[in-house]
Amino acid sequence: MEDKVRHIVCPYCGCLCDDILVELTDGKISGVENACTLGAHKFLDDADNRLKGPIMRKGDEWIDISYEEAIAFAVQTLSEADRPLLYGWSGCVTETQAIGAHLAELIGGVVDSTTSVCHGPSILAIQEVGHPGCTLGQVKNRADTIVYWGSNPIEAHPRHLSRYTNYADAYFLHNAFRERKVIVFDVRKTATAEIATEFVQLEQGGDYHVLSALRAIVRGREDVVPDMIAGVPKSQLIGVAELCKKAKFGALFFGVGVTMTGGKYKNIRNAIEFVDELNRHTKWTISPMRGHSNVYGSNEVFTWITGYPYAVDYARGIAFYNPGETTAVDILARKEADAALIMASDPGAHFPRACCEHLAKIPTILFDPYPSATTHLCTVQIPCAVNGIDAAGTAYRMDGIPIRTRKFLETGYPTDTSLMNEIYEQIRERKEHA
Amino acid sequence: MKIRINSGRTVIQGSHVDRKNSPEYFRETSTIRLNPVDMMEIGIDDGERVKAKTDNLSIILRAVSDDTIKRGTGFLPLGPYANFLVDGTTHSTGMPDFKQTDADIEATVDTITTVGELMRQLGGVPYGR
Repeated sequence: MEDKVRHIVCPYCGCLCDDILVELTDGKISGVENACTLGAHKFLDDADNRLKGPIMRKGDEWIDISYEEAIAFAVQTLSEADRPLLYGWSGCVTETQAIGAHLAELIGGVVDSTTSVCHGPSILAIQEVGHPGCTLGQVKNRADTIVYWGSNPIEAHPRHLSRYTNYADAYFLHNAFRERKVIVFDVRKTATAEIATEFVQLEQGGDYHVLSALRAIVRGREDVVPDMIAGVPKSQLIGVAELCKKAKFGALFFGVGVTMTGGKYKNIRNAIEFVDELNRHTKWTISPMRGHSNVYGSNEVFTWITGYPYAVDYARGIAFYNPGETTAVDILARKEADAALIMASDPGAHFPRACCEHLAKIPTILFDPYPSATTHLCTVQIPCAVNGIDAAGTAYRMDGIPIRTRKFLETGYPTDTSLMNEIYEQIRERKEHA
Repeated sequence: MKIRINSGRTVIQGSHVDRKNSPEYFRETSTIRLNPVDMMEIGIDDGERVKAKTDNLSIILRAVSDDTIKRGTGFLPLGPYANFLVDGTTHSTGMPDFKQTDADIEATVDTITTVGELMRQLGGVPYGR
């Protein structure tokens, strides 16, 4: 039997496209419309890829265990740990993130999201100088000049250009596609650079210098700028600055190409101050290209509950926040954590070597529907329903808009929210009777 | 030859993040894109293997030529291979230096380790069902 379900929300990247159509045949996903390649794979590759049930590492073997045994292991491990790390949270719903933050307080642990290895530096910069941002709807309907800096949306957020920028219709532009200008700053000629009105190729790690030069030019002090800046001719930057000043509404989007390279949050601070400078002439906004579907949600939820957006340490009984010390990579690289709960993320594939080595040594409980790189490192893996496929909840789009994801399949897998709730309640009871 | 390795998302890598143990993910994340002139100097053809070495660590990768890559740099899609050479230093920001790994690249005939085997080298036990 075939069935078509409309208005599905794609749970892949921070765009959270909410116009996906999924075809079901005999209760399995057989077709996807409107999604990009990344989103289509998310839906189409789901079938037959999930773990059947929880698994546990015993010596050099893997054994199947029940959900009750897996939960009991998690409860015991996390209750007894001195320095538990609760990490991930960007692929699950906000309801689960909230339990994670409360659990950190209950057990005196550290709760950190994948933010610390994507746009953590952006948050540090925003805490220093503020965030002149806006929603993607404003960009779609008003922006005539778009900058992508250290970001390659054609490969990382493939529908960003068609839904919100270059290829999208705009209420306040007559012929949006012809009127819009796209400027790309990158160290290599990416697929996005190919479609740019202007492509600025800078040397790796040269972002801070180029941003400083642009600020000086926009301020009318091009006399202090040398002829070449990090591989970019001054004349090109003068042209780009003119383009930016002529914009009626400009939107700068930046990716992890700026947050990960030398300077880290100082690069972002410089980018925000460049936008600040442009706002003396016209209207400009700046926004991070958030990667995971609900990584922004983790920052919102942790802030409501703990007062801080990520890297929150409850070891002292109160919330303490010091990125560089309380961030997951630092805690693992210092071999400090004695237990880890990894929710909906894959540090095995995305963390430095030293962190993975430590995760393999300590009891690590992984919540992931699929076998991942972290599977090989963890002690117990608990498969759960996938947010946006067989589980529903709230996720935050990259511009801070909460969107309710939809459940359209019944698979029988427990949700991560119900599993975390169970773990939280059992640990709370244990503590009360201790 | 000294190469500064950059990393990032590609469509193939991104399409297989839920199948990290698939041949497609393995092939994409273990393939470094190098400037064709650098490849000539290293003495390798398209698709041949290289060893990327930092202080005490090394990893085997497949190399392909890409003329959008500047000389002296390389692009390795994000994943366990790119991060194998990254150390845990974050300069007190929480963010490691993911996109600026300086490595010595030389030709090799050694084989490339699978994701599961790579995790075994880090202390894990490959799960293969």
